[in-house]
Amino acid sequence: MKAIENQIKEIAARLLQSGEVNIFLAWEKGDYEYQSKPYFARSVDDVDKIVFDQYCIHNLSNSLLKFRDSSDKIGLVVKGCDSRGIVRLLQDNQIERSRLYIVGVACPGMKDPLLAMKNHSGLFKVETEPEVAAKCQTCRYPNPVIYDELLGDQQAPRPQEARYAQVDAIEQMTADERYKFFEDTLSKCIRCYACRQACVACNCRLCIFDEMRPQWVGRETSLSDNMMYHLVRASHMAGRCIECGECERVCPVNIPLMLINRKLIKDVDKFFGPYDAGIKYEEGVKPPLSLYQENDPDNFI
Amino acid sequence: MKNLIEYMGIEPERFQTSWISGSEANKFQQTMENLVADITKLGPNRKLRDMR
Repeated sequence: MKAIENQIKEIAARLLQSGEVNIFLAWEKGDYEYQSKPYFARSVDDVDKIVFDQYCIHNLSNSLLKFRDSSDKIGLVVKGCDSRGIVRLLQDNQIERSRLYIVGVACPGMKDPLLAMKNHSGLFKVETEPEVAAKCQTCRYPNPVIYDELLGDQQAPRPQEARYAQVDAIEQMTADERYKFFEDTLSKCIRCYACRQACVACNCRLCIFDEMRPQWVGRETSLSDNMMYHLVRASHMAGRCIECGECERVCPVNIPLMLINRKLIKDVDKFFGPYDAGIKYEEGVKPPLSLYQENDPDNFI
Repeated sequence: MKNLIEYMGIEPERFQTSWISGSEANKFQQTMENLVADITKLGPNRKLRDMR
């Protein structure tokens, strides 16, 4: 990891020096050993601060949305999941490929900083920390799918047997049981919208949940409004979700959001597939839900 | 959408979509009658409503 970090620094310094990019997105160290946070280097002097370690879990492709109206040239470091996010942004015409310089890192899996923080706080019972974060344990694309430069050794995809296991389990329940289950889970939601902010697929300029006139969805944390929020959010993710699991990771009340997203992934895969969001970028090629075809299945609507 | 609603435990019959042109009055009437019949069979909706 240290070797990769040094390589990243070299590349960042080279790019910023030559003016090939104005901004280089990577991570810097936070206050604690288990905190790494996104960092925007703007000059060669900033490069020293860049780190790459086990806690660089944040999806940097999401940060690109901040620059979609600028003309900055941007260099950034991506892991497998982040690179799929970039492909999705390119497919959605959110940013031009020519403005990006992508440094891909084959990702060995990251650790969960929140879990580490809990264990260090002394307030919680110390849990044994798994080798990699929950979202990395089922990673299917640890190697970047789009890059200008690739660092690190190729990683093998991690085991997949249980990919849809939870979704299948819920599908087996009766309608009332399912409703009860989601009632219980979603009643915890405090509507902080962290899942929306962390999501690379959430790229509307004006979000339906922010709009006041008309106010489509109530803003209070009542169960019915919570359920509407999660229904709408999830259906906006259909065909876009790249399974980076950031929404679930940032949720302060631990709502299993990927459970809802995976259902849509499964359906899109089944009806329009085989399809995985953002695994390949070809100019002009549209993902299935951005394209009308006469033989599109009706039952997805 | 329909699948998702069903997945969240709401009866899928409550949400129906149809493609009806402005000139297809009969089809519109038929669709609405079927929808009303379906929903009457299900009874009042208690889910997703007024749970404060």
